[in-house]
Amino acid sequence: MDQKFSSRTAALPLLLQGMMVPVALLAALFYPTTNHPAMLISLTGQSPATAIGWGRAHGAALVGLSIDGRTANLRLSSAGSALAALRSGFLPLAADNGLCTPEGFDS
Amino acid sequence: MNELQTLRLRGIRVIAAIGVACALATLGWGAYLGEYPLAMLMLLLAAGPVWLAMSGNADTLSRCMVGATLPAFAAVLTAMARGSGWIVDMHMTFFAFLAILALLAEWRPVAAATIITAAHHLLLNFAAPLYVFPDGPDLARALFHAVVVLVEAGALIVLCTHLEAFVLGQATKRLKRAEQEESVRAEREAVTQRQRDVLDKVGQRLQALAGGVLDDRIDEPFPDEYEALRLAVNNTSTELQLLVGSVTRAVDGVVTGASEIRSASDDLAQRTERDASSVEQVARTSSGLNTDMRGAANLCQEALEVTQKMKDEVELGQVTIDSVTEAMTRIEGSSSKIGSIVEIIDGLSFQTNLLALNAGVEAARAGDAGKGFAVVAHEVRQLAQRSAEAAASIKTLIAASSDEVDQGTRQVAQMEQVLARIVQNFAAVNTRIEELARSSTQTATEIGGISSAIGKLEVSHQQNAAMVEQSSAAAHALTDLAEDLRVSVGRFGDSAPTHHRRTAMSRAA
Repeated sequence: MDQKFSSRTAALPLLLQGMMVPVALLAALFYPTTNHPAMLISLTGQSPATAIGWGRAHGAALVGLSIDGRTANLRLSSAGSALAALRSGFLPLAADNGLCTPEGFDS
Repeated sequence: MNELQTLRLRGIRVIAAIGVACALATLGWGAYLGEYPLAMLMLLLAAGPVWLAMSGNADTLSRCMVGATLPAFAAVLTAMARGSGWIVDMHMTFFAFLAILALLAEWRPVAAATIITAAHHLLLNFAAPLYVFPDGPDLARALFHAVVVLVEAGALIVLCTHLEAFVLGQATKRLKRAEQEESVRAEREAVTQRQRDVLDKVGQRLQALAGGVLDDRIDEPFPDEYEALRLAVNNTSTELQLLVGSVTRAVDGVVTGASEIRSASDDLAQRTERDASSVEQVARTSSGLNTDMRGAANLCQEALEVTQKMKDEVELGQVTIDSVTEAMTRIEGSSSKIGSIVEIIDGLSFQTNLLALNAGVEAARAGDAGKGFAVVAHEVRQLAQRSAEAAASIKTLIAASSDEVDQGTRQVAQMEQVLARIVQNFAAVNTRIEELARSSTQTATEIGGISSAIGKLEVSHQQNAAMVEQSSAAAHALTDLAEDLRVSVGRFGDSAPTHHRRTAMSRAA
C-alpha cells in the first residue's frame, strides 16, 4: 500500500522531470545567449522591420535576415536579452545553427 | 537486495550533489554573463535528483529519470559555454556524467543517458552544427562521437551488470549467512531458554533452601545435559538436610550444655562470692587471732615475769618461813622457860599458901591480936591461891601455846615444804609458761603466715570471682548465641532431620 502510494506520489515529479529533460535539451540548443546572434520570430505577426527597430531600441545589432527574408537576426545585448525580446512578442532562437546566412545580411 | 538499493540511493545522492554543484556553478556563471534562464533551467533539472535523494526514492523509473537528466546537465553546461571557446571541453561532461551513472549499478540509466546523449548530438549535428563542428554538419564526426559514447555506454552497461550481479550475489550470500546466523541464534536462544528454565528451577530450589525448605526436591526431569545438575541439587538438598539435622541436634546439645554451664557458672559465682566472703572473714579472724596470739605471747611473757616475781616472793616467803620457824623454835624455848618460871611461881604460890596457912594458924593462936594478921594471912593465902590458879592457867596456856607452837612449827614445816613444792611448781610453771610463750610466739608467727596465705588466697579468690564473673558472662553470651543459633537453625523449620537418607536419596534420584 505504501509502495503504491509512494509510486503515485513520485509519478508527478518524475513526469515533470521527464518533461524537463527535452525542454532542457531544446533550450540548450535554441536559447540565444547575450552577444550571440538570435533569430527573432514574431509571435504577433510583426514585420522584420519591427524586430530590427526593437533591436535598435535595445542595443541589439542586426546581423542579417533569414533565408526567406521574413525574420531578422540580431546580436542580443544585455539590455536586449532574449527575455526582453520575448516580452516584446518575439521568440528569440539561437542563430548559430545556420538558420541564417550571410547572404541574407542586410545592412 | 537492500545493499543494492542502498548503493543506488547513494548514487542518486551523489548525482543530486553533482546537480546542485552544477546548478550553483551555472548560477555563478550566469551571473557573470548576465544570463539567468539557463542557470534557472539547470536549477530545475537538479531539483528532480535532489527530490529523489531526499525522499529516498531509488526505483527503476527514478533511476532511469536520473540517467536521462544527467545528459541534460551536460547539454545546459555546453550551452552556457557557447561562444566562450570551452564548448568542446564542456562536451567532455557528457562522458563524465555517463560514467557517473555507474554509481547506480544498473544498465537502464546508462542506456537512457546514452539515448539522450545520442539524440542531443544528432539534434545538435543537424540543428546547430556550428556549436561543435565549426565546419558545419558532419555526420561522420557525429557518428564517431556516437560510437565513442556507445563504447563507453557498453562498457558501463557490462560493468553495471557485473556490479549488480556482484552486489546481488553478495547480498544473497549475506542473506544466507544471516539465515544461518538466525538459525544459530535460534538454536542458541533455544539453548539459552533451556538454560534459563534450568536456572529458574535451580534458582527456585536454592531460594527455597535459603528460605529453610530442605525437604523439597526438583522432581521434573531436566534436559539430558542438565540432568546431572538436577541430581546434584537434589543430593545437595539431601546432604544439607542431614547436615542441618545434625547441626540442630548439636545446637540443642550446645544450648543445653550452655544452659548448664550458665547455671553452674552462676552457682560457682555465688559460691565463689560466699567463699570470698568466708575467706575475707577468715582473714579477718586470722588477723584477729594473730593479734590475740601475739597478745597471748605478751601475756605469757608477762605471766612469766609475774611467776618469776612470785617465785622470788615465794622463795622470799620460804626464807621468811624459815625465820618464822626459827622464831617458833625460839617461842617454844621461851615457853619452856616461861613454864619453868610458872612452875617457880607455882612453887612460890604453894609455899606462900603454906606460909599464909601457917600465919593464920599463928594468928589464931595469937587471939585477937592476931586477928588482923589472920586477915592479912587470909588475903595472902587468897593471893597465893589466885597466883597458883593464874600460874596453872599460864601453865595451861603455855602448854596450849606450846602445842600450838608445835602445831605451828609443823604447819610452818609443812608450809615450807609446800612453798618448796610451790617453788618447784613455779619453776615448772615458769618452764611451761616459757614454752607457752615460745609456742604462742611461734603460733602467732605461723598464724601470721596463715594470715598472709589467707590474704593471698583472698586475692586469688577475688581473681577467681572476677574470672567466674567473666565465665558467667561468657556462659550467658554462649547461651544467647546458642539460642540465636537454634533460632537460625530453626528457620529451616520442620525439615525433617530425621528423614532417612535412603528416602531422600531415592527422592533425589
